[in-house]
Amino acid sequence: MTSQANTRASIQQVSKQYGHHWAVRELNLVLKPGELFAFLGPNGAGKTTTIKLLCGLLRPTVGTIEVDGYNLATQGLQARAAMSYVPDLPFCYEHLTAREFLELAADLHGMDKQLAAQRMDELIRLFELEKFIDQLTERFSHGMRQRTVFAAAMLPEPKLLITDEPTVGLDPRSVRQLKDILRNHTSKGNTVFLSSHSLDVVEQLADRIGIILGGKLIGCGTLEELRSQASHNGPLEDVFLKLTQTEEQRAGVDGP
Amino acid sequence: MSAVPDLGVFARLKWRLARNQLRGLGGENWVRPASIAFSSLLVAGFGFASSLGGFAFLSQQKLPLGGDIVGLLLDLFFLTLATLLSLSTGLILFGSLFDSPEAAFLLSKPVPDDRVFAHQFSGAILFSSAALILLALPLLLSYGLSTHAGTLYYLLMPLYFFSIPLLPGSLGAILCLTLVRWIPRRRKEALGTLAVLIAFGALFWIGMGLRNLRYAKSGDEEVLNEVLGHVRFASAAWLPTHWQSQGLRQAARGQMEPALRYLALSLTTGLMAFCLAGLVARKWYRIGVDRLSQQERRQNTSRFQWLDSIPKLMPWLSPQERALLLKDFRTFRRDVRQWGQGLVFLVMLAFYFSSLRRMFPGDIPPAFRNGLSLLNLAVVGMLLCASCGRFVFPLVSLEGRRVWLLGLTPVSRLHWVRGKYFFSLLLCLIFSLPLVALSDSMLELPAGGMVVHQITAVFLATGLSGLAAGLGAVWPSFQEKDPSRIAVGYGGTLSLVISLAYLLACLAIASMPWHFARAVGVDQFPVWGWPLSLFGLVMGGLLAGLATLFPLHLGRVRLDAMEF
Repeated sequence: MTSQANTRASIQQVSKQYGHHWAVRELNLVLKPGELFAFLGPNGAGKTTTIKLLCGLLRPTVGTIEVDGYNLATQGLQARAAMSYVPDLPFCYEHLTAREFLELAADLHGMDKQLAAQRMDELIRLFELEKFIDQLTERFSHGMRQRTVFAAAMLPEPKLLITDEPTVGLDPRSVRQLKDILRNHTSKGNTVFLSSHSLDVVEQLADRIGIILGGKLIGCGTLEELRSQASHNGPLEDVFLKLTQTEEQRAGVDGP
Repeated sequence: MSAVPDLGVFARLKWRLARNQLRGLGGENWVRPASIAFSSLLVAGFGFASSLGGFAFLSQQKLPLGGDIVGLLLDLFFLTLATLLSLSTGLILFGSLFDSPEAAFLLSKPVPDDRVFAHQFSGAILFSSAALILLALPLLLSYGLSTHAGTLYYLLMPLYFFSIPLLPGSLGAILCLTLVRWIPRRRKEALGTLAVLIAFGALFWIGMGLRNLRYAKSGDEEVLNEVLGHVRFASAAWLPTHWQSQGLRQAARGQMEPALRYLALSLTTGLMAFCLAGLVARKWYRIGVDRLSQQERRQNTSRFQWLDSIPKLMPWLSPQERALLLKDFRTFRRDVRQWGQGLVFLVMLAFYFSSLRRMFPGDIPPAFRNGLSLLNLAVVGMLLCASCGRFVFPLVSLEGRRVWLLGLTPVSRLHWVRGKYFFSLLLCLIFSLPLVALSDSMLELPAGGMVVHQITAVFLATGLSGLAAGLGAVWPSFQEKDPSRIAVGYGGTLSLVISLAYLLACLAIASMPWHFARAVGVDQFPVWGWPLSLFGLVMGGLLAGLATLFPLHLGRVRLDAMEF
């Protein structure tokens, strides 16, 4: 373990190049235990690339990423053991039942059978999966799929939960439920890294917010700190628009 | 909690997936697997009967089935099979390792990369081994029966079947991983180019063989020796395919020790290659995933945009149909992998047709001209059949889960299918008519025969397009994204069988009367020949009309009944 105790994950001077295009540029970010960090940005700003870098699906062109003190490039297994990832398009094996999918997730994380069974029971109740837990996932709606994938991701109690657009396609009741679950997860000292376009959800949940534009982090801090940076005391939506528009105007003046 | 999952995780996953799929067959879906089983049995039965007949023929020619010549043929068969398995496993693995949500899911878990690779590798091997079962099993069973092989042969056969795909599959995997790791851009195209190069190499090799045959001075024996000498490399002692062929031949003779020795050699070499592929995956898989993501977004180059005006050549289509046709056309031309495969076969055929004249130093014997021209027409028909099955049949399915988008548009569902039909017809006509003309002119076929062939080619193009477009809508597979998997699935297989039947019927009805008359009147085309040929063409036209309109109607009915 190389990092300090109050750091769950760190992104240090990370840049990612696609051909001639820099999708992420000199990104520095520290995620703390027990915090819910929201990552915002317009389409194509570099959010998904950053998430994939943090999951280890992509490698930084420059820079280092550590999760739970493990370097993702050299200690990928240990780093991935400490995290779970829920993508924007949740993946399920269509010919497995929801229960079998949860069991697979437990197996992939090398969980003890008894502990896994106990956690599964908790999560089935928590995500209200009882009605369809023994059905094949092929006929699941987006919401049912999303809840199943979330339950599978929460099964090993990940120290870092990364989620991309978690509320898309969920009904209001499920959104509320998910918000409670994420908050509860951070209250146990775990970290949630959430990327979303739902600014109201972010405003309600996030401890800190990062705003990315053109691959660069243009703002990072609590909502109050962002308001102060934007010199605007309104809701997050206004703050976000002001910060991104100011940056775009500046980039337009400075040139590409 | 341990960081690494136990070894049985993926075995359990595969078992559960297979079990659940099998359970699903118990319900209303039994028609689909039953049809697949029936089609497979049909193909395997045909292979078995022809191999049995082939071995009987060799026995009649006093060629010992345990002898060198049959051994060489088996060596050649195993080598060809291994080459095909290697390429198909490499291509399938590319999709399952680098372009599947499952791979992304597994790579985000604390699972070593080589285990994810091994899981996907076993899936790819199983999928590409369908050809092994359909081609090798009938041949080897008929060989066993023809040589009166004992129990040892049949006991060892499954073990040999396990060993046969291991080495070529592993080599295909290493090739795939290496290409993705080291070739900076356009890997799909690189893999396709490699396949094209191999095809051209094989073509060159066949061409050299034909040239040597032409210079063989006298007698069947010399020709046979020339052919055998040309493929003798397949029996090289260091080739694992030779060990497999030798081992099975020894098992057929009841020689346990050499049969087991060759099996052990084959198995250990295959397993070693698999371990090597695992090592390569451990080192390069995740780097490959990363490098693939670095591909620059392709711009719409204007170089080929002129091709988009081709749909305008069909003024009778409604604007909506033309818009759908243009969409399919653009999607098709931008997917090099798709049309590249068709182009390879097209070029190979053109090369073969243009070399025909050189095979005959003097005048072409009339019987040859007559038979060969019909055979070449059948070959072009087969190419159309395969291309329609591979590229046109999946078109409706490829609309995928977004098919509701089309469903909301104010376009009649008949137009969906008709757009795809005209797309196919246009491409089929563009490629088949010149090919048939090339073959006929090389064989110096009389003008009447050329006209009959051109009309038959039009019938083939229209009927096969109608079958592929219509049946593609009757048996869509919206869950599948890979067109090659759609083509080899239930509907694709059934559609191919129906198309082959149509091909044979169309040739027999539309072209055979002219060829029959020509065969009867070698020197003077008989008087009754023209009415008979005309009758054949009219009947062929009716058949083509039926093969076009009926499937298109069925497709429209199916789409009309579809809920999104």
